[in-house]
Formats: sequence, C-alpha cells, structure tokens
Amino acid sequence: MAAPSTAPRAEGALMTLEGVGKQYTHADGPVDALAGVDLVLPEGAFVTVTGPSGSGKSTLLSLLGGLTRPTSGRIAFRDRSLDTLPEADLALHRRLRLGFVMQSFCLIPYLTAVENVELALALAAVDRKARREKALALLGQVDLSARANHLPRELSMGQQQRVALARAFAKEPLLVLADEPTGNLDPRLARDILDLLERMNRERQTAVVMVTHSPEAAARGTLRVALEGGRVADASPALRLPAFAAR
Amino acid sequence: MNLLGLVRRELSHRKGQAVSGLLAIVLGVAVIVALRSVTRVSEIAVATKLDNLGANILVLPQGTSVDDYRSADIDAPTLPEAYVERIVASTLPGVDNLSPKLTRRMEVGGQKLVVTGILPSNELASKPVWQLDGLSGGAGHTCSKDAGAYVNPRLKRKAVGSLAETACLVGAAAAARLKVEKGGVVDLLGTPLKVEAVLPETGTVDDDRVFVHLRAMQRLTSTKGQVSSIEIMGCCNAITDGLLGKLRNVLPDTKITTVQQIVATQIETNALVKKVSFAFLWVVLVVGGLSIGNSIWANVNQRRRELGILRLLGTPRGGIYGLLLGKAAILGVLGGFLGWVTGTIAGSTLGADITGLEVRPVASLLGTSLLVAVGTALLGAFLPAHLASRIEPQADLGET
Repeated sequence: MAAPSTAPRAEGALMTLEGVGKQYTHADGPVDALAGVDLVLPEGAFVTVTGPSGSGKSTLLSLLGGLTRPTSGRIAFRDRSLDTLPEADLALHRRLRLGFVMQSFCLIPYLTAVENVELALALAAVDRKARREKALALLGQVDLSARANHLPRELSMGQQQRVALARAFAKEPLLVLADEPTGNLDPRLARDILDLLERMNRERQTAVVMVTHSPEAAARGTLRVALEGGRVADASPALRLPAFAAR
Repeated sequence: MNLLGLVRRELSHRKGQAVSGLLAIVLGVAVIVALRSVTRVSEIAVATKLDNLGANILVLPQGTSVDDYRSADIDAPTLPEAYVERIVASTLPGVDNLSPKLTRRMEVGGQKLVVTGILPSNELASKPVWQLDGLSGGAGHTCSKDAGAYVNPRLKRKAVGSLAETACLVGAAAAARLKVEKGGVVDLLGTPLKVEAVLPETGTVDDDRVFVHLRAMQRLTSTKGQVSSIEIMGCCNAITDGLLGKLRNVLPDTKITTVQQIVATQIETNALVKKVSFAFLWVVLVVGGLSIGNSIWANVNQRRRELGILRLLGTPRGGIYGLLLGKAAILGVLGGFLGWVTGTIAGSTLGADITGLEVRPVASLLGTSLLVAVGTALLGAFLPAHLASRIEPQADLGET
C-alpha cells in the first residue's frame, strides 16, 4: 500500500469529504451527479442517506467506498487521502476496512452461506481455520447456523440479506456501506435487517452509512443526510464539516 | 475458500460450459497425439522394411556406374579390403553390418555366370531372405535402437556361421542352369566347389549368382586384398541423419550410393508428417485458443455481476486475472490429458491397422500435450481475463 498522504482530518472523524463533486460524461453534455459536498463521518456513527432518485445517493456511497473517484474535492479516510490512492491500494482498502451490503444481496451463487462469509475473510488474509470458525459464529449471530451449508438459491431473500450482513461485518471493518439493504424485502423482513444493522453498529462500534428510500429505515440512523440534485439539502449538525471542526 | 477453491467451485457449477470449452482442445491434442503415435510406428515400419531389404548402402570404387543398385558391383574395378577396417574404426553410428564382396563374370560349369566372393557371416546377416533351413549361425542384430520396443520377428534372422573355401551357395536360377542341387559340385576355373545350398528364389540378380568365400574368390582371381564393393546395412534413421555424408568423409576416394527410392520415401514421409504435425499444431493453437477464449469470454459475460462482487469485496485486478487464467489452466490440464488419452487410443487403433505393429502409449507425448493444451488455453483466455480485470467493482450490481 502507498504511504499515507496527508489529508485534513477532524478529530474523531472516520471520513472527511471536502468540496467533493462527481461529474459524468453524457452524450448530451456533462452531468453533475454530486457537487460541492462537505461532510464528516464520525467513527462508529450510523448515518442514513436519503433523497429522491438521481439525487446522488449511490454516487456518494461509491465515493465513500472507493469504488469511484471524485472529479473535484478531496476524500480522506482517517489520515489517508482516497482520491489519489492507486487502484490496487483502493482494492486493499476495501478488502480490509470496508463492508458492503447491497439491495440485491450480491452473494456468489455457487458458494454456500458460510463460504460466502468466508470469502470476505479469505480476501482479508484470515487463516483458513480461523475464518471458518468466524464465519460460522457470524452466521450464528444473524440466526442462520442451520443454513450455513445452503446455497443462496436455497435461502429466502431475508436470509440471503442476513448472509450479506454477516459477510459485511465478518472482517470487523471500520465502515459498512449499505445501499438500500431492505429494498427487496417485505416490511417485517426489512425490520429484522435494520435491527441487525443497528445491533452490529452498536455492539461492534462499526460505522454504518445506509442509503435508503424508506423513511422508516432512514429514522434508524443516529445521523442523517438528505441529498437533492447532487447537493446536501440537509444534514445532522454532527455531519457538517464546519460544525464538526468547531466542536 | 481461496482462489483455487473458487475456480474449482465455479467449474463444478458450470460443468456444461467447461465441457464445451474443453472439446476443441481435447480433439486438437488428440489429433496431434494420434498423428505422432502413428508417425512413430510408420517410421519404425519403414525402418523395418529397409532393414528387411538387407544392405542399403553400397561402397564402390570411384567411377563405377550405379544405374542398377543390385548389379553395380559386377565387373567393377576394385578397392582395398582395408577400407572395411577403416569404416569399422570410424565407429559411425548407424552402421550395422559390413559386407565386402568381390564380383566377377566367370564361366562356371560351362555357363557364364556372376560369381561373388563373400565373407559368409557378414553377407548373410544382411540378407534375411536367405534364412535357410539348415544354415547355421547366430541371430543378427536389429537395426533401430528403439526396435526393442517394437518386437518384430522378421528382424530375428540367422547368419551362416561358416562357408568353407571349397564350398559355394548357388542362386535358384543359376542352380537350374547348372543343373545342380545341394551336395553337388560345380567347377570354377578348374577348382571343384561343393554346393552347400541352393538359395531360394529372390527375384533379384542374386538368383543368377554363385556365392563363394571371399578368400577363395580373391585367390582364384588373383586379387588378394581387393574387393569390388562393400555393402553396408545402415540404420534407416541414421541414413536420413546424414550417414552417407559421414561415410564419404571416411572414404573420400570411393563412390557411395544407397537405395535412393526407399531413403527418399522415408525422408519425404518424415518431412510430410512433420509438416502435417506442425499444421495440426497450429490448428490446435488457433482453434483451441479461440475455443477456450470464446468459452472464457462467455464465462466473463455471464459472470460480470459475480466479478463485480469480487471487485467490490476488494479482489485486485491481479486476482481476477488469476481466477480466469487459473480456470483456463485447469481446463488446459484436463484437455491435454484427455486429448493424450483419446489420441493414444486412436493412434493405437489406427497404427495397428496401418502398420500391423503394436503401438504403445508414448508417455513423452503426455508432457507435450499438457504443455500445448495449457499454453493454448492461457493464450486464449488472456484477452477475456484482461477485459474482466477492467470490470468496475459496482458493475451490474443493479443498485439504485
């Protein structure tokens, strides 16, 4: 991994975004998916991101996850500047420090539940015996011990999302990024998943950023951001960069 | 669950796709293996034929006409018998038997015949057709160094251990003209010679010849230490590898010739088979590579979402390369092995039909098969793997 570059960091901030923008090229001209975003993500926070379609929620999540680079501004993860990090180091960053929970679960179809969880641990270079034990323990925490050897297609959607949750938290990341994790689930299953996310965040002190359309899901966040037209329309004071810095 | 485990599970998950990707490479390798197996047998078969023909290289004095290989030595000028020793001393590989001869047209029993003086054990060892009941002697040696692996009873011939200087062998036609049989006596320049045997008909000039001991012939014709030709039984492969040139270096003042048609055929056959083998090698490389490449490309398209997930989880681009090239390598190993097995079976069957000789599996071709198959598979998979490594982490995840 490249030597950490100096990045401005507010005390207690896991991530800092300063004037971050993302512009896409389109046949009709450039499109600003995100513009002038200043945000601070505190360590261990549960942040929900809301906004209408096209407001830039998923783009923000992609930038936080190092899946894409900003076209303007700076993004720092603790002391490390993500926007200048080489591709291989970004992959390592995702491998070791981040967990992802997606709307469509994103499980490998030919791996069993426990193998899917193990995969994240294997990528994080956890040794074979420890990763099997850890994966089984995580599946126990999401109440799926009995389904550990089932393939995704043999599981219900709620169960698949619980496997995805177990996989996201397995390597004890610093940040879990969840993109509409309840979008494909009925209300009861959605509540179960949100309960689990909350519990994991609370017990493990892992920061969570969840993008959602659902007001009920958004209410679960201890801190909230509302996006509109690629800009921050509203944000909890603790997420605002000047306020955070002035604490 | 590591990279290899992931490849193994994916292969097992999409067996049909793996099998279709394998087919071209299996068939391609099988064709090469079958061809090489048959070629080996064919080479042995030609070598056997040449061997059965007997001597195939003729050393004559410089200036001798060689219009007819089998009668070139008749009335030829002489050359020193010491040349035989010179060839022996050169220890050239591929010289299996030397047969010095002195041949002259003479009157025998009132008939004009060709009389050839021979050193019996050397001469008869090179003429398997002379395997007569009652002729004593040891087994002749075989030609090819590989011949032990292709046991051919026709190569186990006998040589006459001795032919007395007062005896002779008479060709079938000559015996008829002289009206003699085994045990009879013929007169050669006033010297009576006992007929040791009447040789079976060969359809060659040998039928009209009378064979006597070389020493007797030299004495009768006052040509002590001289011979008119030296017949050499050269190994077929050694001939194609330039034995004639090497012999010419040893005996620069002689004319050295061979049974051109047979050697030429052998050379042409070898060259043709080599060309065909190379052509098939290219076919395998192109078709096999395209097939595996196409299969991996289809696999990449089918797995875009899965590869996106792996990238999302932090798999580096090198890991994606490893995943797809690892799969190609496994397919290559499987294809190479199955191709070798299929080709060996086909080659054995065809080889037996074509040559009548037993073809055994050629273990050394297994290594080549694996090398070609894995190399081809990796080449074919490289471009799809490269493109797959460019898949973005969030590709096709279908999110908001």
